[in-house]
Amino acid sequence: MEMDVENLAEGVTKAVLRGRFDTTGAVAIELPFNMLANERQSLVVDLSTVSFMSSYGIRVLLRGAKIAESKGAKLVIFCPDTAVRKVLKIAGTSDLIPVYPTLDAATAAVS
Amino acid sequence: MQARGTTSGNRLVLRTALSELGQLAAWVEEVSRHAGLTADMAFGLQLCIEEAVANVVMYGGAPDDSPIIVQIQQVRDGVTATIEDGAQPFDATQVPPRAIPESLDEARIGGLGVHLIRQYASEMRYERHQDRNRLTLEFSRSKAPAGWT
Repeated sequence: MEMDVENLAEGVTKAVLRGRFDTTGAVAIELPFNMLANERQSLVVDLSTVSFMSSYGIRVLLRGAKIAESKGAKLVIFCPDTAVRKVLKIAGTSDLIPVYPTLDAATAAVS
Repeated sequence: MQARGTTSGNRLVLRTALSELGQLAAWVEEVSRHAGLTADMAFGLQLCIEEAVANVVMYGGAPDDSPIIVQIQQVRDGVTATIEDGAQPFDATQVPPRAIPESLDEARIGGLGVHLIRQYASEMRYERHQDRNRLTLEFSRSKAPAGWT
């Protein structure tokens, strides 16, 4: 799994995750993702090119959101209506972290 | 015992190691394709097997060379998967239903795997046999779980 980081605007960063957000993928990006959540203000996590999501992936997202919340920042997810979005809903994650169907909506929510 | 990572039709033998999960995912995908599963069923099968095996590897306490045997059988109404391991006894069917957290603050990190299996498999059974755990997961078209709909 890969992660690209892009600054969208003052204080808003986009993290694009690519590939399978399974146990192996989540273990690989956990540390850099936590660091990003720590360092940046608002974070838009782009899951539009993530093809699979397991509980470890959700764990990484929840920890990142907790880090953001602890410093008064926001973390939101951009995820189109796919099987990955369904996993987030079934896990209850989308009740805790806002999930938006478009990048514009996700960016607007943290700007 | 078969050598590590060997496949025999619908049977895969893995070591108890995280590095085996990539091979597992590719194998499950191939078996799903051969079985002609729908996208929802294939995703559910992939997710449940990943959760079950990752749980054994990360929390089961078995040595690396202890084999995990995964089998997938095509049945009339779908597929049945069994996962056998030599880890500490663990009956996933007895894990209490997950409490729904109302805030990020309350949300526990982890503990989601069994919840997802319950939502993506039609049925889950457990037996302890000859010092090994055996988890059986059924994926039945006539008993579509919440995750497929």
